[in-house]
Amino acid sequence: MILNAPSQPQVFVLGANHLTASVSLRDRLLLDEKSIQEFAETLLKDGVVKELSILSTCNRSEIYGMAEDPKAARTHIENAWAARRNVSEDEIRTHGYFLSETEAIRHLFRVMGSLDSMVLGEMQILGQVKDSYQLASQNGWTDFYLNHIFQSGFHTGKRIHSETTIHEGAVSISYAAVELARKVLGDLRGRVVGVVGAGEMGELAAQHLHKAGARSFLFFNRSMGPAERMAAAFGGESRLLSELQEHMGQCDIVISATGAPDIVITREHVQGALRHRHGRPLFLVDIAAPRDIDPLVGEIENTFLFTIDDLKNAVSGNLELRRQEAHKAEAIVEEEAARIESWSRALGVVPVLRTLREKYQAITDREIEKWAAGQPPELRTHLESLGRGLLNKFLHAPTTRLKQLGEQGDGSRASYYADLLFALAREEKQHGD
Amino acid sequence: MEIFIALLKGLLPVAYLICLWFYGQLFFSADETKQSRWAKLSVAIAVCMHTALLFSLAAQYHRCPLWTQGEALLFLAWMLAIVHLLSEWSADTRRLGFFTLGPAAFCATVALSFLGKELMLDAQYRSSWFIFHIVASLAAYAAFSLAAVLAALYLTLHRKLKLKTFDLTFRKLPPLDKLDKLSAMWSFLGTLLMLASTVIGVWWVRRDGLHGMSPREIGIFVVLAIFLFTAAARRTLGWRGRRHAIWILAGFAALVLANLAGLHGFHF
Repeated sequence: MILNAPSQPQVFVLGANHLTASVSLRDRLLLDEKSIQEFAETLLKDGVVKELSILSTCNRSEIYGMAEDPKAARTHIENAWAARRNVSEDEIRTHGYFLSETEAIRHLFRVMGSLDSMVLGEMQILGQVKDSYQLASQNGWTDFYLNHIFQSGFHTGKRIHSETTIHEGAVSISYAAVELARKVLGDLRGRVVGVVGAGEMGELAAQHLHKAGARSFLFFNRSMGPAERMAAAFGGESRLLSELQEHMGQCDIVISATGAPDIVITREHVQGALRHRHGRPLFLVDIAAPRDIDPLVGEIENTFLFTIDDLKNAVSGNLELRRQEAHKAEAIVEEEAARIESWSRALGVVPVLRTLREKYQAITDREIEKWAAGQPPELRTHLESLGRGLLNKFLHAPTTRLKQLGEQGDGSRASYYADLLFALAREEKQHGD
Repeated sequence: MEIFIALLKGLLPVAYLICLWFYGQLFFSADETKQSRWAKLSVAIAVCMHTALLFSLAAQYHRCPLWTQGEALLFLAWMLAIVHLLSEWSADTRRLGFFTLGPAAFCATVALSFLGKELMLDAQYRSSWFIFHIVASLAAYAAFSLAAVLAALYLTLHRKLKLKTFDLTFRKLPPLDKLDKLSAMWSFLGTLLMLASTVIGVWWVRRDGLHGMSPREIGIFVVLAIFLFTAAARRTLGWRGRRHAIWILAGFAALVLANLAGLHGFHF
């Protein structure tokens, strides 16, 4: 009889994301932490799925699992998911995806490397996967296989983060303004921000600047109402637009987004403001259409003016760079997926290795028992140590070679010959009898 | 000892080249974590080798290795590397190492080709005040060099911001404000060291009865005047940013010209 590896569970992923499903379907598939707990326990209960981890965010809902029969697991999960949420199995099947083995691993690694995100390079997903895995691990839903695959995924995500610049550069207009402000002024903490106009764009930019550490805000508007509302929201002061010239000298950053048909900030305004700034630079962003700030302002010494077109150029440049970096990231994913594949293949020889070691350990124990009988305890200790050393040395070469053959995909043939050479099956049978 | 010195002389330029390679990678590539580690290690090795060479020369000659132009240049290269390390440690400017270590690598390589080829200075110069004077001068030169590199980088970034060129150099350079403050700080430190060096030099010259005024002395006074004016204008007139960077570069150019004028021309 030849030893056969017990049927090895396979990894799979079943889910739907922003590329395959509409927002409404994604909303219906979305699972909160409590639902995840109940759903996972239901799925694991009957043993079709051996291990699992559920990732559910606004852009994707995915179930990663291990099963001996992934197809059966798929049907089982689809039914359970449809029963739990307001969706049909057909919807999941049509607008979702099911991947197994290397494809599933590659998908997980791409997700963790933010290559599958709605905004390429948006690394927030790595933290979300970490949280979902932590929940699964704490509840004992993951074991040997998924633990190893997820750990490799985290390693892949970290490699992509450190070896590429896929996550760098602003990809939204308002954040691009903050990045440029940082490039000119450095740390934004303690900087004074003047927001001209109380529109949505100005508010968005103020939000980003507030997040970046700016705490002093001056809001200028034709009427005091909207300016006061924004001042209350950001903890700043409100001023009438007519007072802009008087106060602009205090500002390090000026964001103008009014709906005015003419120029609001002239060259003379800025020159006047600079007289109070003692050479400190002034950063201006004009996100209004038509323009609020005289283009000649950009020519003044220590003044940096950016328009909405400049910000758009910066964003598109950053997106293009991210796309270029994605090629490097894909190569990292391939490398790590290949590593997991070879690890997975090597698992095929594990039963043979285990039997081999158990057989020779038993022989060693019997011999030690025979020679140590009636001898002082120190001699037994010495014999045990000798036995352990010899066993490790004798088995080192066959163990290493078997693992290598397993990694190369020759696991079954290697197991067959190991079984013949070391008479493992017969021995097992005798012991079994 | 001679074999050890010969070995260090051969290896030092290589060590600096390796440093520049890793710092270049750090600036121009994405994998900063890995490159940063290698850059840190390579600069530590280069500076250790450089220090060992200076100590070995001191042990071989039984004096400070500062008396010949080659030795002074080697010491200047060492000061430049130290100034780079100080900046890297205090202001996190490792990314700029390719630019700030470049002058150190250049000076060290040139110095090694001059070493041992010049005549010794006159006995009158063998005073401990001479050593203080030279060390303070070379430290000032190193500080001015770093300030000039930072000022040049400021102007590069300033131009990119004005032209809205958002390329790799734009992304990798630190903020304008940081470059401005750092170059101002190093040029001010250089000015203080240069003042100290000049005071020591004048005192020593008068004490030992040396006299004369060569183009070098005139040049150094011009350099001092430029840097003192730059510092004062920054403080009182608000001459920051581009104007300040241009003045620092002008001061540094004057420093190079003053040194090209040759050694002191004192007579006894």
